[in-house]
Amino acid sequence: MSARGFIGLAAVVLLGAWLVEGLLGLPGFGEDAPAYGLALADLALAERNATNAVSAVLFDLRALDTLGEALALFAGAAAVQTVLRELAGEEESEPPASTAVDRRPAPTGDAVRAVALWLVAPTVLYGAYIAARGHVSVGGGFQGGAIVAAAVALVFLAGRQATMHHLAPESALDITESIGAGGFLVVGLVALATGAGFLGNVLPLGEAGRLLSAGTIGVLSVLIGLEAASALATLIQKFVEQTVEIRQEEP
Amino acid sequence: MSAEHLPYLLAAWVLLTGLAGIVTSRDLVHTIMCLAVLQTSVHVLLLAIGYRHDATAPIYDDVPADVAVVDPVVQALTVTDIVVGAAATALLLAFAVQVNKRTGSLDPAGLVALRG
Repeated sequence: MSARGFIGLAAVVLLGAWLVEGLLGLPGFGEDAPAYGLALADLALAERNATNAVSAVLFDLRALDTLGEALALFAGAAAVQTVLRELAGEEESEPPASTAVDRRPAPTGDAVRAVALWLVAPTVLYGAYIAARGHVSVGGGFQGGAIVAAAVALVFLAGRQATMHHLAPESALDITESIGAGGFLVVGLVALATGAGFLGNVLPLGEAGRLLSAGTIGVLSVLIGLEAASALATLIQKFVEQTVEIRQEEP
Repeated sequence: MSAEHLPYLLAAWVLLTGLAGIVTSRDLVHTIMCLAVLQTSVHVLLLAIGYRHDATAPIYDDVPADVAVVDPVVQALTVTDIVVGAAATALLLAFAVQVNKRTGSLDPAGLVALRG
């Protein structure tokens, strides 16, 4: 092992000892009642009519943190788009026109193709369901968005890059991503304009457990779902483009 | 050292495994995967801190409102971290793609000089 590796591992061991020392000072597993978390859990149901306390924390009680997170995802997707652009000396070819045999993916088996294509529509529907019911039951915008983006990956898995670009063109993804992230801001600013404070819950709270309840929590959850689905689909597309479609120009 | 701290120690173990992998890594993709492993230790720790004995998930749609629940805040933090982690991993992999294109190698030890 190199000297650098040895020093590094020694540092890891030292950090580990320090970390264990600190962790042993925590209250025992499952024995502590976290006051802040439990207060928020009660508040979610009693004052927001949201039956999913995690979503209530994400999209109402700590919504400002989630706005930062949505913008981090937005910035991450934008950065990947910048880094994986078509550089000088490269050309992008349409997948069917590519003559670079070695850069094509292996042909997909019929069974994989049939199952993957069959699963696309149910996956989109399931993702939308998870995102739309985030304030009521298990789920939320990020989870639903990730499931919808998986549908885009399924189309690629079926060996249809061209269809994938057609179904979810990057120009449209840019727009939906902006609607998701920008909509979050707009909801916050509307609340501010009504005097409730930034990202305050200004919509009617409805009846707990119903789809139309918990005020802005459901709205923000769907917007975040849109943002997450678009950002993750963009990431998938950029990497597919990079490995399958962009190649060095012939010298 | 006792059994009641075992989940915390598991988090420490996962973190150190990832860190040891990063320190000894000879391949940028391997480095990034080690970072992803390291990140899951944060999730293990957060969820372990929020856990309470005999409590259920903080979702009230099919349980009475007075039931004991685990801490929802750490679960929300975990969701946040997974999403930000996915974006960071994607960005790092994008850099790895470009490094490989320019230098023909993914060995971090080979990346010594700045190049325009």
